[in-house]
Amino acid sequence: MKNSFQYVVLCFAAVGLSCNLENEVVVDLPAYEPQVVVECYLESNKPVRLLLARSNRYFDAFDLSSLETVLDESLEQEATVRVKFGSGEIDLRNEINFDAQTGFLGNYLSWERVPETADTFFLEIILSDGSEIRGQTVMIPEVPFDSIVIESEDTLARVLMYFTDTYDEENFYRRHLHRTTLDSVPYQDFLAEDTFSDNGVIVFGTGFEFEPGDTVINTLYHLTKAYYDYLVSVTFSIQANLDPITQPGSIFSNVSGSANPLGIFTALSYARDTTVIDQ
Amino acid sequence: MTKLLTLLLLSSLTTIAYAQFSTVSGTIKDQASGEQLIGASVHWLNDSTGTTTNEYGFYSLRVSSQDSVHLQISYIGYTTLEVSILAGKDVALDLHLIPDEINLDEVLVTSDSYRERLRSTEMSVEGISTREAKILPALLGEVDIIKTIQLKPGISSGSEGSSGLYVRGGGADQNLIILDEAIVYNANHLFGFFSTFSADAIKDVKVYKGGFPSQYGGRLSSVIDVKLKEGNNQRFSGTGGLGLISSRLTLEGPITKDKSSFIVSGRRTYVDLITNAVNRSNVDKESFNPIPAYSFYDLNAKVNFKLGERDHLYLSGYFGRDLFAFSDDNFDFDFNWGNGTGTVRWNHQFNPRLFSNTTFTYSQYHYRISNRVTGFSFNLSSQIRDVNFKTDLYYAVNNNHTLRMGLQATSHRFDVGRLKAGSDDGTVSFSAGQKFDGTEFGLYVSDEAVISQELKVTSGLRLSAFSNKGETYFSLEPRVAARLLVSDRTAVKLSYARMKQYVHLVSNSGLALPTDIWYPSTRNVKPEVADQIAVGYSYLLGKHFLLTNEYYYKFLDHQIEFKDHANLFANDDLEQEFRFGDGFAYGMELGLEKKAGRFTGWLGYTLAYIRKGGFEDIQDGDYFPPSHDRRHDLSMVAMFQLNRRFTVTSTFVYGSGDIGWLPLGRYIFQDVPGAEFQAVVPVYGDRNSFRLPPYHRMDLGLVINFFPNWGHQDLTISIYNLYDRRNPYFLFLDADTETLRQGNIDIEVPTGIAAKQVSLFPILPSVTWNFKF
Repeated sequence: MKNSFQYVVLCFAAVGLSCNLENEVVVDLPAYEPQVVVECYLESNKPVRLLLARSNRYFDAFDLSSLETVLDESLEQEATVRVKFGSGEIDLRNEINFDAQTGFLGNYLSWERVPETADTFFLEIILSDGSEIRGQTVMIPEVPFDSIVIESEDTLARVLMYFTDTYDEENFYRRHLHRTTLDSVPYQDFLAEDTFSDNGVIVFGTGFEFEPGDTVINTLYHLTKAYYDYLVSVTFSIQANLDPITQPGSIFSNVSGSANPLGIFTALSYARDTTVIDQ
Repeated sequence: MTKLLTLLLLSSLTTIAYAQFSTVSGTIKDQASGEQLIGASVHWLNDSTGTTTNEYGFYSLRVSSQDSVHLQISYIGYTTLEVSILAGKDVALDLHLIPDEINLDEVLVTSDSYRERLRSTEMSVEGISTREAKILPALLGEVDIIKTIQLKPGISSGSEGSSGLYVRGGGADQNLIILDEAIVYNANHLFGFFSTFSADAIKDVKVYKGGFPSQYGGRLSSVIDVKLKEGNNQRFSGTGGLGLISSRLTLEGPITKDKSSFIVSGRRTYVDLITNAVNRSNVDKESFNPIPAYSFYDLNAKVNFKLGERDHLYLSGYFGRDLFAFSDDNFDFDFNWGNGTGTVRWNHQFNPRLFSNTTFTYSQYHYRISNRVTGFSFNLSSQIRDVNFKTDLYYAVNNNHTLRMGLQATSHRFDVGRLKAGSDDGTVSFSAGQKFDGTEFGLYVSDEAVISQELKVTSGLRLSAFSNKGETYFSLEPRVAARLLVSDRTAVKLSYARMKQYVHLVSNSGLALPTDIWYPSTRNVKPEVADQIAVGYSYLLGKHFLLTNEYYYKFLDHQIEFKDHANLFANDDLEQEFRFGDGFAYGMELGLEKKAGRFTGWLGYTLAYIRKGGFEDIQDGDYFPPSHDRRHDLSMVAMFQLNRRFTVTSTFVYGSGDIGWLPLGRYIFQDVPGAEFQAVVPVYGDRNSFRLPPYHRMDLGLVINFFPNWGHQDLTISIYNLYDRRNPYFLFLDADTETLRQGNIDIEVPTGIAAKQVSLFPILPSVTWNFKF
């Protein structure tokens, strides 16, 4: 529904651009004190990677002479970072790390792996200035697919992903659909909640836009409410900067503390399927 | 020129027992069309007392039975009439005024009309002339009553091109818009760029910004009372026009001359006819993407019947729709929204001093979105529907007291966020929606009292109530307005009004979106309240100019805002998104107008301040400016009739820049694998903490008149935004990014940040052909 308005807005924008109705202007923004930003995704049986960085004033420009310079300006180093669970805890060392598989860049990394049996995790960070950051998350079960259905019409096919929302409490999801490889712009990327489902059966689908031989990768993330709220706030904040319909708002972080942080500390739970459309 | 007319006997004389005083009563109408004239002045020259016709054209005046009574009847745009009657008995006197072709020497009319405004206790009221609205330059040539209203002091638009009305700090949902006494909930087409009112069908528009009369209730900030024409009961006539984006036609005439008449008025856009033709001609091209079809239309219809000397029946209706449709191989999308209203009204005159108006109305606004793909469907809709009964009595006790009383009952039905979606075989099924039934009551009484030659006071009390699912709210709403004549050119006025609002618009975008829904007061959502005090003066400058200056202060309570990132879409728990607080607004309005002569127009300036606050979860309860807070607002309207053929019009508007909410900081968000890209996430500061550059614009119009044998036609040329000012519509901060690599690490970093302003309308010329026969 919102996309229809955005379509109208884009039509006007297109007309506007053709008449040079977009101009660069000088604005004087009020003062902003940079904040510490946390980004951490726990995955079972994988090391903990965490990015601890700082936000910037919007007009601040980076020194682009090297990536190292940019990282020096952006990262929050020399903090004590610990993840606790049950009766255990994992300390993270301050080390730039890059996961080539996921593309995630962090500056804190653990030797230990996230235990599969733990379900509640607590984050504790003490910054070099003594201020602290706390967070909490749970590892919720993944929601498996019921089926991936490929339907053909003429020479084209569509992909339908069925799953069952079986839990009594409210559930939140994120849907990714990639064509060919994960390392590409997603064909679909949206958030959903189970509020409207009458019988628990939910389907996400596409139009008839795929061809025989195409590889489609379906991913269904099962999100905690905190993670869902964070993604909603990030999505709307980005969108609000681009169109006059969406209202801006604050970032719904699930980390808190005397450091006044932003960001997300969560555990990933997802199901993924790769299907090749029959010739 | 004034005409002197002596009448000894008139038709419809009524015999009543002789007394010291008798009553002259009746209706004042336009001689050419038979339309009733609202607010015409009836002045008893012997005694220097008088009255005005009410909104149904009725007047009642007590006069001495012993002398010959000299009356003067005047109304702006009409030749003043003087009559002399022998009033030994009550007299039923229906009179007709002759429309005045613009006469450059018609100064007396203006002075008398302005003097009537001085004498009235009414303040904070703006009258809109459809004649003026039709000749002023218009966006894309579309005459728009609402945009003319926005040129008046104290009334501002929202964003560029919007038909939203923000009156004395109030939100766009705090305006009671009524069309022939039926509520219009969303008086907009095309997301607010055009209004639903057709100027050809409208007789009168009055906008109350404060000092609300007791018969009005249900909204906090304004009442926009729009009355349709009755239809020419003298001869068949028509008017219409062909413009850039729409055409219109209005036909009216007598059913039985002098007794009954009809009017039908329609307007439709036609860009979809062109896009549909393009789509059909390209249907065989595989690479062709069909163009979405969009159109809107309005239809007004009215009939009226004079059932006897004392009874008159009116039936009127409005129906309008916006239609947006898109269809291709993948889906079939349809989106439509619009209003429907119906009015049945009965006027009855019990006796020369007692008049009644009884009305049944029906109002409905709904939107519906539907989409179909193979095997699946999606439908989302919302609707508000009202059935309303009201009755009003006017009792002219004597020339010093006029009583009004009445009652009103409205049954509201709200269908909120009704969602139905799923597969055709029922395997997948989604649904949502809420339904409310609310009942709203109003009971009022008011007395317009002439205390002395100088002092006149209108005092009233309205009792209102609202009931929904066992929760009932009651409210007493006092209304007081006073006028003190300091001299025959100067009047000082004061008013106080308490208003309650039981129906609320759920919208946080600042734009008039068709999916904005109306929501009732409930146990958790209390009625909104406004208390407004206004004080001002009016000064008659010479013979041509009226100067008005008003100051107001408005207290607001139980105001509704929405939490950050509120989910207002198909949400069965909508009240969880609401936050409640209070606010205040104050300001000063200055107006100067000239209504007669070759050169007419007005100038309006408003200095205003609004704050809202005390909302839980919003800025720790701090006060902030709402998005419609505009500090300075200036409008200048000029109309110059060069001669019978050419009229030049111009408008100039200036306003402090719109409020914006810009990000102050940013950070990089990597997201999970497979997300689109590393996003630059804006971090916003305090709400509405940024003011965009000022808005100003000049429009120019030229009307070229032609006088063929069959009637009248003109070409109206409009140039919107004459000097092509790129006014800010919205601002965004654009980040260019670059991928930096080191070893196997690559991240995107912002390399340049620029603030960019998007404007909506450059210079836009248009031409419209209008005709009248």
